[in-house]
Amino acid sequence: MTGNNIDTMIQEAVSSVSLTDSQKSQILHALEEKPVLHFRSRPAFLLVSAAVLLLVLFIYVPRHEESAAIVQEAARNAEIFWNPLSDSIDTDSGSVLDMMPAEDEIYNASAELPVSIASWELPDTAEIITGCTITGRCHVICTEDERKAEIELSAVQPSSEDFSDRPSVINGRQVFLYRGEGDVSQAVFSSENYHYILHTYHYSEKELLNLIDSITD
Amino acid sequence: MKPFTAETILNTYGDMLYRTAYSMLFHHADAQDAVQDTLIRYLQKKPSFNDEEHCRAWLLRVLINRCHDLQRQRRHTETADDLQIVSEDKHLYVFETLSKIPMQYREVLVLKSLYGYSDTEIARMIHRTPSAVKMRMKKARELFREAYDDRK
Repeated sequence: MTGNNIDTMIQEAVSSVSLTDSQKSQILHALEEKPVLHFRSRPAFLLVSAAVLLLVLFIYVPRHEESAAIVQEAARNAEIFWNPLSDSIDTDSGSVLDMMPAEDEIYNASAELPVSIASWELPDTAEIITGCTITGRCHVICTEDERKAEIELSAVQPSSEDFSDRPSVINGRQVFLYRGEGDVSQAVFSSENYHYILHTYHYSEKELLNLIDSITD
Repeated sequence: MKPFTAETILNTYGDMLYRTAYSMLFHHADAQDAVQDTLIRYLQKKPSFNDEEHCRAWLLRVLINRCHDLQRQRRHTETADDLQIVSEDKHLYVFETLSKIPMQYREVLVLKSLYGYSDTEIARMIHRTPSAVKMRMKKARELFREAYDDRK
């Protein structure tokens, strides 16, 4: 089943659903009954906003600092821990690193399989964020100004069907490069132990290849 | 573009919004609520748009956020309890398959399949990076294939 087939099946199925006239009437009726609140024009808004701001300051900031400490510690060690069983992490009780870009996906998995990327030389100004996703992949994100590199580690061989634009061989590694939309570049490659999916932003092809070359288990 | 009335929005984009919401929630009443809340949001904000596409994207973004809220609120397993209303078996089959896919994958699949949005456009809509959207799309299609084959 190709991606186009899936798209067509979904299009056909979804087209079979539509709002009935009765539902439209119900919605319009509800809108008439429920006058739109212009909450922002009310003094209460200011009071609630102030309360929320204070709440954020008292609750969020300390947690953020705590998260930052975890990240800095991870960066110092230049090591990430990967739990292949992290699919089973409870989303409610999982420890969340709030500052990750995809907050709802990142969980701090317990250490089971250490994967060292110590040989990856990072610029001094780089910020490294590590975490494990609920899908069992690990992310290492390095940002420097607008440049960004993100690595996903996986024990499962990634399918190369989307990355077969131009296979290259770098130091014996077969690398599938993909130039996505905008400035996003992606590469899929494997080492002896792991499969990597690398996303980069604002990297030239040469820089991307150098980066791949520098990554070791 | 001048702001539309609620009725105009509903007549122009109602089906699109409802289909999208239903594809994410599989529940007619919740989908209707999501559309209604999106209209309320529109009437509150009265945003100005450059063109129809801009308007459509804004409405979809609000709707998707609302769908996430509704899903969190109801906190029950997605059993697609209204699926029997869909008449044709093959469509029921597709909805049942979609309902097996986690929300974050389902939303990119629906946005791509129904509206042909690019990774970048979807990324903007769901506040993720284009590469994250690309990976989710790939995973979403894998999950769809697996779920579809399992049901055969």
